[in-house]
Amino acid sequence: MVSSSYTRVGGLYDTGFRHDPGNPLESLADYCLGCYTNLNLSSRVDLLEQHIREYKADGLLINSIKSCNSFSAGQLLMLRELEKRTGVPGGFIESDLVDPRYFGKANIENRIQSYLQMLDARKNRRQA
Amino acid sequence: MKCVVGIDLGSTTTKAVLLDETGQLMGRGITNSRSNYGVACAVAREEALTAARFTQLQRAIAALDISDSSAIKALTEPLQKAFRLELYLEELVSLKEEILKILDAPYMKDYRQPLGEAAEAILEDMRKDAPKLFLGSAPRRSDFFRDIAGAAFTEGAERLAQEKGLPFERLLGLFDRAILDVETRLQPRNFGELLLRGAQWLTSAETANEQGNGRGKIRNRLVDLIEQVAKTPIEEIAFVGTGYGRQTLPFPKDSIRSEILCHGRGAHRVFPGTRTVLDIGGQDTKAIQVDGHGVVTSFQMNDRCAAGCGRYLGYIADELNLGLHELGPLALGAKKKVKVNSTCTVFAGAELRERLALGQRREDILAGLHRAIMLRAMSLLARSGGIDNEFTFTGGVCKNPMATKILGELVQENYGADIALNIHPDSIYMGALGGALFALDDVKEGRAGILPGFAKKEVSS
Repeated sequence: MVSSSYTRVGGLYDTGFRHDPGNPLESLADYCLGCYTNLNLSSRVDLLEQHIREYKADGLLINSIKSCNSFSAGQLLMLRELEKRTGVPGGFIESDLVDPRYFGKANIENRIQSYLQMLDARKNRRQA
Repeated sequence: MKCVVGIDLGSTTTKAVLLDETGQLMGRGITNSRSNYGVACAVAREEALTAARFTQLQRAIAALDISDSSAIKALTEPLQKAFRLELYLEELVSLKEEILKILDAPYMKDYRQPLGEAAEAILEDMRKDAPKLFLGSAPRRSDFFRDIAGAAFTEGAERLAQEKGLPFERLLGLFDRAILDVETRLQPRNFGELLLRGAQWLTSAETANEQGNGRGKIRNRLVDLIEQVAKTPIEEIAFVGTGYGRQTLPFPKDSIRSEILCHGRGAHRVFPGTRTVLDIGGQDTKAIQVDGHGVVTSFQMNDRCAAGCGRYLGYIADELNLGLHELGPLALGAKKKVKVNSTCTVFAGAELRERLALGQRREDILAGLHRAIMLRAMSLLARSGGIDNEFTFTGGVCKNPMATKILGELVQENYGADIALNIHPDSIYMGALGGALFALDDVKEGRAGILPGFAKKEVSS
């Protein structure tokens, strides 16, 4: 794993954002306006595209969280758009962080395994 | 002869496919998955091996360059029936052994004699009825021993319990206990021996109504061919396992392929124009996109909940006291489609009863249920990237005529009339076929996985 959007919920530190203890309210406002979950979909896509290219990622795996709309809304649209722009195949799994009814271990393992094998198969096909 | 094997361990049935080195289908086998994937796997493989032997026999007959080869060819179908009969008789012997073992238990002391006599009488009748069952022309409802023997034993138990005043439940209980051990007992088959025994059925049946003396010659030639085929070793040079239960078996890690890859590959092999695959099985639904080589490019599957899968139709059939295969044809008689709110398997029965209580027709409700399932599949397809021409529908649910009819309508409604919809009667084998094709790749790439002591391990598990 080379990059993750989840780590940008606390702020886009990699693009230079820092909390300023001298200006707490202003920097908090800055943070709120710029953190990942407050970006619109096209800005999120731009950001993820940049990461895919920068790290030369082989794939993009999205974990949809049933009870977190601020993360999960529009994820399939973003996935398709990123596939179109970068040619990197996306994978999709669904679970939840609070509600165990939405978590099925066998199902998630199956999807991740299928996704990784799909990446391998596509790589082999390109080399052949 | 060298061949590769693909095994698909489904939640309901286990399938095996054998291909020769050129990728031609040699044989395939299917069995119920029971509670023991290890045994199911070995049985499906044994079935596929048997089918491969028959393919060899057919090839040997086709290669005969003699005037009476057509007379021999005509015997292959009755020969297969006779082979099934011999297998059944062998399994009946195992069944009897297991039942006698159960009767030996101390708690059976008071019932040992009456139940034992009744069970032996039932089994003897089953043995006598077997030739009629297998050699006749009427198709059997099931090929699984559990189903065929179960139906016959229940019938006999009902009759004897009434005639002799025996406890029916206890009598049938003998079968229910014994069948578990019969099914998990693995007997390696001797193809040549079984088939030669089968050939005896054949000739004695035919000498009764045939005159002329060419028969003896044909029989001798057939026996020669059988011996020749039985002597040719079948060597399994590669193996791939897939399906729901693949993780629970001691398959080497490199020999496991995801069922999504296998279903995509298998569907593409049978219909090379395939770009989108929908698979609705017992436990899950998959929407798969493949490229021109059958390689998966994108997929979606249902989340944890099995709503709208084959199991859902199973519950509905139970609720209506119908067989699973009767649902589709009944729904075809609908005058309208009742709007159904839930594809949830748990709520299915409640919603069904509520609709019936409101006075709606069974056919119309069923039509609505089928539509609800297919709408769910359409949403999964859309999420996976939509439907591209050609579109192939696989899995157990594609045998349901109402499901395929509604799918066709929805595809036309949403994607236009230019999409070809492919459905194959043998689509239940697509996953195992894809597995076997991956095994063939492994051979070419020099990394074939084969199970050391495969059959042996199954027996002990």
